[in-house]
Amino acid sequence: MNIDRHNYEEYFLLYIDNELSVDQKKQVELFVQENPDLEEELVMLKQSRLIPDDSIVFDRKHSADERRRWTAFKFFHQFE
Amino acid sequence: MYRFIVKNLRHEEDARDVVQSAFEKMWRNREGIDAEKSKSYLFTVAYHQMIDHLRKIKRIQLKEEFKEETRVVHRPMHNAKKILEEALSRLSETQRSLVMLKDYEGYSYEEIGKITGLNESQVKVYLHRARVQLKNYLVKPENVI
Repeated sequence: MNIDRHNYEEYFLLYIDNELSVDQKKQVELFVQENPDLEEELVMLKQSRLIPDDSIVFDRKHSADERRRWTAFKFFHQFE
Repeated sequence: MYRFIVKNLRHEEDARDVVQSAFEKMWRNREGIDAEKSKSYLFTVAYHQMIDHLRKIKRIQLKEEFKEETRVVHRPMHNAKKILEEALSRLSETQRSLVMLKDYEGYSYEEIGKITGLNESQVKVYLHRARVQLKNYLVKPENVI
C-alpha cells in the first residue's frame, strides 16, 4: 500500500469501511497527520457513516392477527 | 435485520412480513443450512424479498409516528441525523442497502457480495460512490450545521 495525494480517497474509503489491516490503518492515520489539509475529508466521511438506530426493534406484539399467524406457524412446524 | 429492512421499505408491517418469511424460509430449509452461516442466509433471503417487494409496490411513505419517535429519542442529533437520512434517501436502492449492510451489520465486501449477488469489486465501487455522495451532501453549504 502506497498512499499519496492522488490515491488517498480510495484508502480513506477503505478505512471508513473497515477493510484495511491494522498496519494499513496506521498508514492512513500517519498520512493524515502529514497532510492535515485532508483531515476534514476523512472526518466528513466518518460522519457520513450510519449509526445503528437501536430504537427500531422487531415487535411481534403489534396485532392479534400476527400473533395468531405466528402461533399457527409454530404449531404447524412442531410436527415436522 | 428488521432495522435494515424497515429502513429500506419504510413500512413497518411490510418489514415485519419480510423478516417473518425469511425466518420461515430458513426454518423450512434448516437441514441444508450451516448454523454459522444462518445470519447471512437470513440477510440474503430477506434482501431479495425486500427488493422484490420494492419493485412490486414502490411505496415511498414514511410513517408519521415513526418519524416522531425517532425525533424524540435522538433530539440532540436531530439535524445531523435528518440530513443523513435525506442523503440516504437520494441513493439508489442498491447503494442504500450496501451502506446499511456495512454500517449496521458490519459485513465485509465479500459477505455483502454474497448477500446481494454482486461481486466484491462491484460492492466496493458502488459503496464508495454512495459514501462520496453522502459526504458531498453533508458538506453542502445549506446542510452544514
